[in-house]
Amino acid sequence: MKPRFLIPVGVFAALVVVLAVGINHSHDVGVLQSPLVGHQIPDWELPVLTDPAKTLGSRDLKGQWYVLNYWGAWCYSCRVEHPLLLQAQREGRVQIIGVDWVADNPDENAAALDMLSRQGNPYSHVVTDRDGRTAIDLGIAQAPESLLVNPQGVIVYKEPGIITAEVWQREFLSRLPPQSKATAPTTGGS
Amino acid sequence: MKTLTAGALVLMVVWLLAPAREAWAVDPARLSDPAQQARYEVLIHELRCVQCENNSLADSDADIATDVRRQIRTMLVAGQSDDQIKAYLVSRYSEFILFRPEYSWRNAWLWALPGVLLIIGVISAVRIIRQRAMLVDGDDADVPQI
Repeated sequence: MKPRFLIPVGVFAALVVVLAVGINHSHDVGVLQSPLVGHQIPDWELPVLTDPAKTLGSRDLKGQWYVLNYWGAWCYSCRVEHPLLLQAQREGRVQIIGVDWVADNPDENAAALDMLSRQGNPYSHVVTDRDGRTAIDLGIAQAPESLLVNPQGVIVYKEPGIITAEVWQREFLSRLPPQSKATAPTTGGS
Repeated sequence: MKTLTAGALVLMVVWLLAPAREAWAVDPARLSDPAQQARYEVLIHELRCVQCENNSLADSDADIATDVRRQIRTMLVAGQSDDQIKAYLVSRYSEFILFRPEYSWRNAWLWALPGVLLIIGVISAVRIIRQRAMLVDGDDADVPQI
């Protein structure tokens, strides 16, 4: 009879433990875990920025490692990320495909080309996503976001934000095969 | 003071009756089929904007929300069911985008918990009330003896 007053205390303590574990194990605020990671990338095919009559798609890239980087000239964070991408391109471990996300901005393509000519072009190819249809299909929520895709076409990693030098090292380079093998299929640019 | 209250009332009435209220919404898109439009509006209120996560698609003017709304309209017009549209978006963005969680065994505790807590509360309340009622009876019996 006596220790009954301990019941609410116990319930409260249990609740604190459950919530503390939940908060500690939840991923960062604003980070959505993509259900596509670990699975085949949904087929995509998009017009090339400089020549919309041509397209590039997942089928053309089978057998190669690539990073698919969603960005836009309207996107401030993408400008922050840009120098890292340029450096990554100079390293040449993996080709980076840029997807210019139009997102209803008039003159987005011209602005994108302007940004690339001014600040450098880290991409082996740049394609355009006009209506965001492919972005949705690939589970993209915002820009910048990047997918690392292996030669079998499986998404092995998704970075839901700016790639920093640390993220590039820890999440991208570490997943690539040793350098000599990685450079072989990465013929890039056309 | 009275005129102020009256003025506020008039303003509220005007606001409620204003036919152009929809024009203030984030999304001005209209589907030609009213039934589809109705389903569209329910859907965009039940789905989360994946960028600004505490807004619904209906409330958000983020670029991705605009694109997702366009995609939903395309799928609706193409004759897809609400469940198909939701299943597609869940396959891309996980169940997180549903403001109303699915009825599944994984979510059973989520749906069951309020009911379980209510039952526990009712049982506790009944027991406490009965105990107190017995105490009151005892008090009455005690009074004449003093």
